[in-house]
Amino acid sequence: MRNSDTELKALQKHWKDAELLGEGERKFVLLPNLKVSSDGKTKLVAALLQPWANGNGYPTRLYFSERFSNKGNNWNSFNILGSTWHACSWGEVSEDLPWIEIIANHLRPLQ
Amino acid sequence: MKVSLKIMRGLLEHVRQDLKRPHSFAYERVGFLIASAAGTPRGILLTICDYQPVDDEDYERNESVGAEIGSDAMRKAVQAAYRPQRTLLHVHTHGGLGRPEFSSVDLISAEEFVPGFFYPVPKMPHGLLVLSDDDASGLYWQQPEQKPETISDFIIVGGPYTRNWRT
Amino acid sequence: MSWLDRQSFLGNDSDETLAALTVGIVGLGGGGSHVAQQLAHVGVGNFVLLDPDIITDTNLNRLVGATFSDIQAGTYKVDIAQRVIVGVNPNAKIEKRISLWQDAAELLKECDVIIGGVDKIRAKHELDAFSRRFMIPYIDMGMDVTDTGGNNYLISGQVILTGPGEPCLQCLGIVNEGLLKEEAQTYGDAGSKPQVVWPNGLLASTAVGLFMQLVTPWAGRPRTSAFLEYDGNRNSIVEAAALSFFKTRQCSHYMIRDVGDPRFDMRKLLAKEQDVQTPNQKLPQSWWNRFIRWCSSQRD
Repeated sequence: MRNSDTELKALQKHWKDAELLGEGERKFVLLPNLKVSSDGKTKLVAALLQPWANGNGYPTRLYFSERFSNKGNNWNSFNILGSTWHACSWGEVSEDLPWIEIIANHLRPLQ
Repeated sequence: MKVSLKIMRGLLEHVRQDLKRPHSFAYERVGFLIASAAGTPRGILLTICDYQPVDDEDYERNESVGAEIGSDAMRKAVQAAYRPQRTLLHVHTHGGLGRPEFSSVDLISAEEFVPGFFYPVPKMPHGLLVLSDDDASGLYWQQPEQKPETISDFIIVGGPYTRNWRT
Repeated sequence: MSWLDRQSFLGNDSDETLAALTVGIVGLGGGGSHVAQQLAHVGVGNFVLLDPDIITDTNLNRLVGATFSDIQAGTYKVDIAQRVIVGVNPNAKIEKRISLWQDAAELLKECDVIIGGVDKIRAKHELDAFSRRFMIPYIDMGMDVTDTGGNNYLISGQVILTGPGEPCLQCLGIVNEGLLKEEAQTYGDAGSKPQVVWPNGLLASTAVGLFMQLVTPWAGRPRTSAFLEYDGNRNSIVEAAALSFFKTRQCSHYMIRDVGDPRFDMRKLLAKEQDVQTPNQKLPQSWWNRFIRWCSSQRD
């Protein structure tokens, strides 16, 4: 598992308002304004990065404030930090990667 | 906009006990409730998560009102609400029973210091509460330049769960 | 005379108290449908009903209020619950959504108590976390039928009352990482779990009883937590030993300070309200402006 302080600082170089938040024992990185390119368009959404396994069957996951229609498979709804989030099924993106690469990998199915 | 305030019963009792402690020259003790906020379908929910008492040494004598809290007390309160950003609610008690009312001194001084909370903590509403032994009244500011609005619901979470408390 | 006169022992203002409360019921199946019916009978005035499903024939063995005609009509479970509630109390106010609770969670924020009749571990886990975040007491129900071999079965279940500062579903072993992972790996499809009406009724009644102890003073000392285990073979409901153990320790899974919405911003809320109140200039003029122009034209 990577050092969360170092990884968070690296993310904040790209998204200055990225912050680490807790829900129970689980920690997530909130990215309030993430530009996502999908289907030739760019959308501004909020995203929640889960950079390590938390018992949901995935080593890492990226949740979005809205779904991307026609992209990604098996979208599911979640409630985390009191808000609704959405995630699709997407492979095994290792928690050993730098967080910025984890995000990039999770954005691939939406391209 | 409907604003509801929730507090744990144990914390409320602790706050009441703290505010009733005598002070060497201040007639009324004050403190600060720290709250998180959330939007709801009809307004805002304020959830009290902490209480910051004002230390004995942070009261200053004042000729017109007897005592007031000094800048150190304000600084400590703002520090407690700065990161992560939280709502600050100045609180004191008038004792007795029934729905308490703010005195004119309460309102005049609040108009001066509450808007100041928005400069270090701009994204949260701030306000003040006055308690009696079985009830409460509250005001909150949405923005520093606006007039305050009334907190409509007071909910105690604990045994028993009480909405618009009378206990 | 009031239809609630026989329950005046619940407390002097109990009718008004119950009428003013809002209860969220997540899952209107075998357990939730019972709860909805009972809460209507005791006079709860406001409901939030969340369930995505329509009734099917295999629900009819236990879904209270459902009829054969509902199966033919493909009635939604929330609509059945609404019908049952207003049939008892026409003054009850109901907010309902045909959706997963996660997609309608906003509606639960104003609830005084949330009662969960959900099967999935992830749903229970997220409801527990959500309830704590908004300081809402949460009552969770669960029922199981286990094949013990030799054509014998064990009917079991539990009802848990939890809330801020109390042992959570993880403390009490109802939710753990292993169960969440196992559920995720089967894509949450538990198949057709055996379910029957009488244990559901018992568990639902227990849940409603805990709700009443939380909000009315009839029992003397109010309850803020409970973990009641049901043995359907012995016909017993007893307090689980785990609760008294965990009540002496602080919940290690949730922090008291982790409440509210970390994304809340008053400025954005006000900007959104402003957008609603002063919409696009190209919208049709208000009736008031049309009236003023008509007055002017009359004068001219």
